[in-house]
Amino acid sequence: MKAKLTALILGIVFSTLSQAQQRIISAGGAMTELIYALDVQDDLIAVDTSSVYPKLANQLPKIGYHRSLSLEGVLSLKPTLLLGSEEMGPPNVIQQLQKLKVNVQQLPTAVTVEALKERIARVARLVGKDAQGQVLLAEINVSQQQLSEQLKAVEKPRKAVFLVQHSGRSPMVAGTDTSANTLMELAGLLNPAAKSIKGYRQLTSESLIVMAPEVIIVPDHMLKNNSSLEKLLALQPGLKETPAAKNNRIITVDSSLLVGGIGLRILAAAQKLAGEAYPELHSAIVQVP
Amino acid sequence: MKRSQKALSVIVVLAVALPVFLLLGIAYGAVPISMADVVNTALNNLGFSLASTSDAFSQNQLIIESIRTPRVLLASLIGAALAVSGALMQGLFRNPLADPAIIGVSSGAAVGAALAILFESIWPAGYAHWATTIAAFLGGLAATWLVFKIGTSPYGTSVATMLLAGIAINAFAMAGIGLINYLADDNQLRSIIFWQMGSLGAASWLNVWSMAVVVAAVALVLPRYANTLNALLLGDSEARHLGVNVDKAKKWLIIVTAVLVGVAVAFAGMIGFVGLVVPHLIRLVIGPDHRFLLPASALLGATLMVLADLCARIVISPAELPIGIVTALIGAPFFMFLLLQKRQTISG
Repeated sequence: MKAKLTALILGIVFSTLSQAQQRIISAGGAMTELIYALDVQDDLIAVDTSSVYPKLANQLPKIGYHRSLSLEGVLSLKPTLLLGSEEMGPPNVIQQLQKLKVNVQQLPTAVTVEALKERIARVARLVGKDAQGQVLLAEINVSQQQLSEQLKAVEKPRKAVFLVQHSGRSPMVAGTDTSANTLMELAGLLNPAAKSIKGYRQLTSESLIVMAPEVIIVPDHMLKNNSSLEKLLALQPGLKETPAAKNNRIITVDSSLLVGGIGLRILAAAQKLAGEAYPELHSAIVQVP
Repeated sequence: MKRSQKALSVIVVLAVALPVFLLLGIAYGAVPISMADVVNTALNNLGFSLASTSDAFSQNQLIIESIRTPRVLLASLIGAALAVSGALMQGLFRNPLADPAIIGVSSGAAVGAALAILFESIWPAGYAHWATTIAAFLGGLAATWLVFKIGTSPYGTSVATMLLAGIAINAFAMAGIGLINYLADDNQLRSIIFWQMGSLGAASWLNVWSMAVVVAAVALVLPRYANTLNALLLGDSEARHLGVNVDKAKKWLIIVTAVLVGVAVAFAGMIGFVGLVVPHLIRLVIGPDHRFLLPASALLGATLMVLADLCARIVISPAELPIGIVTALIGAPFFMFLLLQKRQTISG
């Protein structure tokens, strides 16, 4: 409560006083994306290595990975505001930065649309862009509504699994508490893996067959790396036997969407995914830019 | 006589070099600080405030006092601890490949730390860091104790059995870490991996003092064991004939190593290579006499660690490299170069 109040007061102070003079460091891909969407990128002086979208962010100095920040490295950039998630760390560095009077704000990363909205509102206030924040929130509400309208036409939700593979290892499936699961829920898909799995886990081929997914979703870098669908299907025995593979319903999503909590593009991605997972409803599902 | 004179001069050179590197470590970092501010801060702390100070002085002073100085001192203490432990293990096991990891202390600590990270949610907020440190220390001691128990029978302590037990414990620990990695979520997994790469980022005065107490205690005890280690180089029974209580000596040396490395690993994670290489470098230069080998290893270990940490901090600033990677990156090629140079001497 106290922290929230401080954040609020600081936010108001920042928004009314020195908008042009703030020096922001953003740690975490989703946060950086939000900074650009709020149109404060001119005040952004550095990002962490997980901030790869938009591409412009790659031109800024990198402060390392957001979980292993360097105390002096951050200080040397003289930030007025360090924005990151709860995962930002290590904790002793964060504590010392606060002792050294750096305004450090850690925002929750829960993978729900509600948490995303809260994050947008809070960050907008912190960087003095309340109005721009309201615009983003309104956009999200609109697409959320559109999406649920369109999905009413779905009679029986399809079963889908999200697979991700790190090089050389057998694929892992997304369970609850993952941005992939949220994406599937938003797209009106049923994730059978969510029943028993939290986070990402390797899955035996047998349980994959039992789950019988009608749709398989993979991040796009996986198809790039494996170059062909055949190679992808060869990653795990049993993958070929799923209804999804038989009906050739394997869908890729942008990899950068799913790192570091859900970001602003999640609803557009969900809409696209819904369109591809329910092609018969294609006319009903309109793409919103 | 000539040899000991050479050894003494090497120790003197190292003892002069260490403060220079400590000063460099304090003067350089991501935030540029002038030498004048460094000197003024030092004078300030000694009760003088003579020279004029720059505008950013108060912040610079804070950086010097609460970030760089403890970090540089912790680096030197850890470097000394690891190098001395390496010298002890190589002497005790009469094996040039021995390093502190051989008695399981590093891998035990890694299991402890990984467990603490896996269960970080059960600690009160803000204490998870300490839980990791304490668990690492206890894990290191537990693994060493196990190795020692396996190596000890009613007929005495067998270093060969201990070596094998160490291998078994290391393998078991690796499997344990693998299992923990599998159970960990994405963020915990990254924390575990970062911990294993080592970092001095958590340096604080509290760490420095704790480490200093341990190192000072060892520095008081160890000189008495220099001749014992020299005798052990001849073999257990020969050492016994020279009047050494072999089993007691082994026990003490294992305890000393476990505590030194346990504390070092708990504070800074895994930092490889220093323990293995530094005693070798010293031995190549001044020979195997432990009376000189131990202090010289401590000094060189401290100096190298300060230098490695300086690299870790400035090479990719504002980000930071894990120190364990720097020690291996600098140490391994240099060591190979030295081996090639000295190939004849070693084999001959």
